[in-house]
Amino acid sequence: MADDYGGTGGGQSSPVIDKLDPLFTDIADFLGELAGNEAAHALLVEERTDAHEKSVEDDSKYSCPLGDFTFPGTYGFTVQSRFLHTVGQAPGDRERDLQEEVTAAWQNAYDEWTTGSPESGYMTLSQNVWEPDPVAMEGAARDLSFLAQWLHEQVAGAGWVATDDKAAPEWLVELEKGWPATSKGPESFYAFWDDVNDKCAHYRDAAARLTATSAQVFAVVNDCQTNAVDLAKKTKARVKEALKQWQQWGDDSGTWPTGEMEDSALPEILGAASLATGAISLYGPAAAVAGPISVGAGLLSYAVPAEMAEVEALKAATATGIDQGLVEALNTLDSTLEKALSSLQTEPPKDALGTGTEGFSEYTARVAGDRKDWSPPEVSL
Amino acid sequence: MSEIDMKMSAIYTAAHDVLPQKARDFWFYAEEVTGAIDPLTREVALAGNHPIGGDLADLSVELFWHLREMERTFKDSATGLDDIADDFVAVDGEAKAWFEKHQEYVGEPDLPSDATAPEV
Repeated sequence: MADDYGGTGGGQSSPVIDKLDPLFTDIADFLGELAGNEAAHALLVEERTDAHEKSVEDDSKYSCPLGDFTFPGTYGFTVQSRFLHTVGQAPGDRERDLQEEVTAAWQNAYDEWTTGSPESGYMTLSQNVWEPDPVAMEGAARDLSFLAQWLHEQVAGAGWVATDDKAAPEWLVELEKGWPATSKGPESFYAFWDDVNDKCAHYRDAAARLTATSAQVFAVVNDCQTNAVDLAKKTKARVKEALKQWQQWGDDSGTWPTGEMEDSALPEILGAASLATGAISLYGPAAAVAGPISVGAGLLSYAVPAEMAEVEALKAATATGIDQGLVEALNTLDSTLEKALSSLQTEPPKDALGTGTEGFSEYTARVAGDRKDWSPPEVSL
Repeated sequence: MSEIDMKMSAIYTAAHDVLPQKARDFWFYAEEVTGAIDPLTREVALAGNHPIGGDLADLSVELFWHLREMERTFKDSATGLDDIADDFVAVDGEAKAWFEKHQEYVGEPDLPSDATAPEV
């Protein structure tokens, strides 16, 4: 399967931070360039308005010729704009001065934006999402699934029977026949042996619930991380798009570059409820017992079906608009993670396997309450 | 196989082979629970310290506790059967003669140490 994010896949992906950090840094830098364009443009608009008003008032003193002004930056461009020319002055002097002002305004706005390190803010906002390592969770869920399956084998038939049962192991039958008369009876041992599979049925159920919930938590975290990377990639694409729109903007009408992105129908933040429900459907207790649980880490794709939700960052065109949209989306992602994990605590399993229909929290409390019943009978030899 | 052979083989096989192996099985899986839950709760703690981490830890501890209980019961049973067999060897001539030919059963059964409990 192709990896959209440049990783190697198959659970060997680098931590999500390695993907998010450079994306956020690029976004912050491009937003600085966007803010620079906005500041330089505002300066030219002011000059043009001033030139127009003064030349109308007194055209013997003032005129408003067209000049070429260059905006700096990775996505720099040159635009024509009218400036104030005082009769008698060389027009080139004012044009040169104004170009210097344009460059300075651009640089100041860029510096002001990037000095605040907005990328650190994005990292902090999304910390709960990117910090957990889903690969570590995946390994844990898989180990627990091996336990659930082993316990299931004990329940299904491993000779945990009474001495007179046909399935009793030979040594057990012989032990009963030849029990040394010098010692007290082995009844408590036989009772323990015969009961092991019954106890293992309880433990299997607990292991299955533990495995399933671990895998569900993994899936939720993995999906939120996939979302975070998707969101950052698309936001970066949006800022670049806005910068390119500035480059293509060639007239002096003052029309703000507000063009829409070509592909505006992007699936975004997952709904919390569907995320939890999807994870519960995928990884139920029965699945944990049926075979090795395959959770598939690696930020390659969504484990749980996505739900459409609008992200303001992808519609905005200004530095502030995109920044605020991204902040809002990252906050949404954080609360999505929290809500989805909370749902995993309370939503009942889809395939309960006889483990009870309670949500995970309630089930855990019941198991703790039943501790005595789940203990093996005492052996006294 | 003679009667004494059947009798002594059964009890020493249980004490030295079968029950220690069962104890090791349960020890292994109790250790698996500990090994799994520590990283799992550590990662969930990073996800905003969500309380589901506490539930996962609680159920793991219950499961671990029961698996270790099983492990201990198998170990105690193995030791108990070994003592019973040794006592019988001490008072019964036939048993003593059999035991002298089966030196592999000298000493205590080889049992695992207690499984490591989760730190959660």
